Amino acid sequence: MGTVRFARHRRRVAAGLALLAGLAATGAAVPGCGPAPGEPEPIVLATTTSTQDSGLLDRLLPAFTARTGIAVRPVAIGSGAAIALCRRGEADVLLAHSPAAEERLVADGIGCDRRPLMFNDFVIVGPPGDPAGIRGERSAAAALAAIVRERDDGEGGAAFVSRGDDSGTHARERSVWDEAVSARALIAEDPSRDGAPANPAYIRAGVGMAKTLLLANERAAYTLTDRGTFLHLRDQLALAVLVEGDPLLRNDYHVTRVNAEVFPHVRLSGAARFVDWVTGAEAREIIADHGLPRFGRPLFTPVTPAAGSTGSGSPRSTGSVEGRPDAPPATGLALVARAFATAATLIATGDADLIEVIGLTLRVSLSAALLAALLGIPAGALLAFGRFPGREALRTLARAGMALPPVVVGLAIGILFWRTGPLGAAGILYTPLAMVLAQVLIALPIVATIADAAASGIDPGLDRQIRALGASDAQRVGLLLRELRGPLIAAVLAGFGRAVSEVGASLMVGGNVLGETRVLTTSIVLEVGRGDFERALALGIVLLSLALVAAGGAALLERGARRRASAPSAGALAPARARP
Amino acid sequence: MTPAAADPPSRLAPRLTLAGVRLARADFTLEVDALSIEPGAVVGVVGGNGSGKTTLVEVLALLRPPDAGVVSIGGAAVSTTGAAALGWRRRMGAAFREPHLLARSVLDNVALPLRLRGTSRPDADRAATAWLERLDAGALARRDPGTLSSGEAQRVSVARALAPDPEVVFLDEAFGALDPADRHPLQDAVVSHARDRGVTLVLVSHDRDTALALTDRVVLLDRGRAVESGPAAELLAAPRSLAGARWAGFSNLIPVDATTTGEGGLASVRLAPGVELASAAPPPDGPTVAAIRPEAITLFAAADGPDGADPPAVGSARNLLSGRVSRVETSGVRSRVRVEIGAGAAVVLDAVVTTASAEAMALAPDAAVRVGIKATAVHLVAAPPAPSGNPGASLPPRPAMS
Repeated sequence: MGTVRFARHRRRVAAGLALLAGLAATGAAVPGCGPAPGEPEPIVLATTTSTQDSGLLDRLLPAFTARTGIAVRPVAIGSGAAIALCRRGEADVLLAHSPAAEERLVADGIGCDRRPLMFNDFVIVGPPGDPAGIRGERSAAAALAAIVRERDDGEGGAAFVSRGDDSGTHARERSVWDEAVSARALIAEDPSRDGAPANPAYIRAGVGMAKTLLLANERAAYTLTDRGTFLHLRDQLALAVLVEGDPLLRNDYHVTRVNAEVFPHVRLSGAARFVDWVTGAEAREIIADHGLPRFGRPLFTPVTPAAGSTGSGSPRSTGSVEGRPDAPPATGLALVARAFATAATLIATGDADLIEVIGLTLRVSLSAALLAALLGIPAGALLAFGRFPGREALRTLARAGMALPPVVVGLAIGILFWRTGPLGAAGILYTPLAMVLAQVLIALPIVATIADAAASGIDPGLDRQIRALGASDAQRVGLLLRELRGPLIAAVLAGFGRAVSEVGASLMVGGNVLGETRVLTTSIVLEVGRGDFERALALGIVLLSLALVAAGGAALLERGARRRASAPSAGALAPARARP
Repeated sequence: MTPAAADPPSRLAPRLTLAGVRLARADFTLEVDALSIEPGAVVGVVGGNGSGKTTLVEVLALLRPPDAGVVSIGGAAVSTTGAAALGWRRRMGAAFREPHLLARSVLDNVALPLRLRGTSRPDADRAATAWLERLDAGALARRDPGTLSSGEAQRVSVARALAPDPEVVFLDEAFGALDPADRHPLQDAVVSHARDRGVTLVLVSHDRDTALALTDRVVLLDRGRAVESGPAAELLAAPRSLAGARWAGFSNLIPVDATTTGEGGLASVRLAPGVELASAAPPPDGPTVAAIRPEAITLFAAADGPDGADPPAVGSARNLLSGRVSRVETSGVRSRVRVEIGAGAAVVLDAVVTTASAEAMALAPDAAVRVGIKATAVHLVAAPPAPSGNPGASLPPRPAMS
């Protein structure tokens, strides 16, 4: 009694939690997640993003379902992740463009009935000014070598942006580098494998094709892209196609079934019908037409059966290649357990990349939380005590702002700071500063709203008493802040939590460049995209540990402050102690 | 070393004055045309709930700006903001019914006002410890305020108000959570400190005994207005206002129909058709309320039927009325008897008699009684102007006997 009472605030928080729990329950109860009895079971199609991003799946899948009554659930992720899903038996059909990895999948007995479906091509794009002078170069390998060599000579300043995400495009880029023997060592594509120093001209983006293109555009850099994504984005890009036509740049898509003998739950008949249909005449027509009206050329060229099949034609004649893989990947609890072990190993061994990522994560999110506190606590106090028109509207806005999707914040900041944007001259996009800015915007509404609730809960009698004690305005603010330290620490912690856990804005304005803007959440997205779920989970555990340390630190801070506050000075009690 | 021994000689506290102060609150408006609190005086602020006592303290202590009017301290007008106000607030101390201790130790709470004034930590802690001990709360020094009882917290709050040795102290029911037995020594300690040091002390209290025993004078508030001001004994004996009469314990408050001059120069007030009382009090101008303490009413057994023979001449009481008992409530040695008088129970009076008398007279509902009231016990006060224009409307409904 006599101290600030937070009952009102607590009630508000409790009501909020109850609301959230109710919403979660509603979401969990949404029906319609299983097929109705009698309907054919839906199949899962693991595929690369380009098939979905190009809009092809939106045309193929409804046509297939209309023909067969079989629903298809596409999981559009990077090729690496798509193949990883197949290795876990989580998909029935694979549609990908990583021939080497797909062949390994088939060789391991997990994939079967692999058939060529279609192809398009990769191109090397770059600034129209072409500082590396690769325009018209026939050999993709020679072009890449020229880009980094140019930089190596210190003449140009051109850079190459790599997807760096184990996607099919990234795999193709690797094989081009493998051809460019002379330049291979210059780029330290995989520092841990090559042991070469990182080359600043070689940027590891770790994001999808569209974001990689935008990043290359901002940096006036070169990149290797599939033509379809480039065509989609070409209006937004100041990049030109500089190298094309090398056979090494041909981009082949295959469909592969997941072996039902390895994973008995795989929906064999639906998968077989899909593979038959998608390589048949009806699908060929759709593929050959897709993109034609909009771009004047199709985005993909279908492969006719005569053009050569790398798999067997019939879904039933696959016994010879199907067999059990040597080591099935961990699933379920075993995966979680291994993720914990990986997390422990990563931390214990002081993995250099991880340390760098953690360091940047903390730098960015702590700065964001601190700035959000410096802005949000006065803003909350203003909302609580200010008397100005539009206060309630502002308060409602702040509360709604807690639901602001980070990716929208990222987009807004991106639009402002793109080179073509109004603040483009600042040149902060794809730097940690842009990420801090985005995270401040994301955390600010939470900090301000909790600070507002806490300050509104101040008993006016307490404020009166503090003034009656002879506090100046500054002393009064200090005393009130100290009385509110519990909820205010919670507010900053909530802001930090939201900042450190968001990924949409960081990807958008940071670009996930290793060593520059890659933080824990964007790493997790990258690892999931690569199909390394174990490492992704391990990074999640690391992130959670950071949050735990932050929460524990805040608790200690608060308890410490209270203990200090409760401990009378030694001088006052010394005489009493001296004569017990 | 006691604080009293360490105190420098007494100083002259500043005079506090209010002029034309108006301050609208949710359910009343504080209206104080003129109020002056003399240096070193101990002034009680009394009145019912919602009468504006705390608001008056807030205005005097520069904690709440009035809508209109001037607050002066030491002869100069002062606002509630700015360096001058802060300077004055640092020469004052205030404790309220709600102790509002901060989340720090008891000792740090009491030392806080000194620390805010720039006193060094050891000096602040010394003064705080001395005041805690003086208010019998020395053992609480290291406690967390959250663990204190409400009475303990109030002691700490008062010690905190006094620790910086203020020249003006406001205690707004600051001992309200304590039993009278615990409260009185603490009040005595504070008042004797105020007298020794020439501290102006403003005491807000519900307690008539406190006002009577400790204050030089009281200010009585009624719905935001300062309706009476003077020594507590005078107010208790001869209130001039309805609120004063109520506060002084005149619980029989009956609106007067008409006032005439009767025999012996006494006023004769008509309470209802056929019910008239002689009063020794000078009748005020305008609407009047007759105020009678229940203890001042004497009951006699009716010799005959209430409407029968002439009333016998008994004693010196000028007023002798016939009535009928409607309720009797006994509490220990005292009994409260409600008597209805006149046609249709036009007048209802409560009398307090000893339980022994009530039993001897076999007082019970429906019993016929004679009601004796000395003319000197019939007090006349002015009915306050009521918002509705009907003076009777300002009288509260007679409370149910409890």
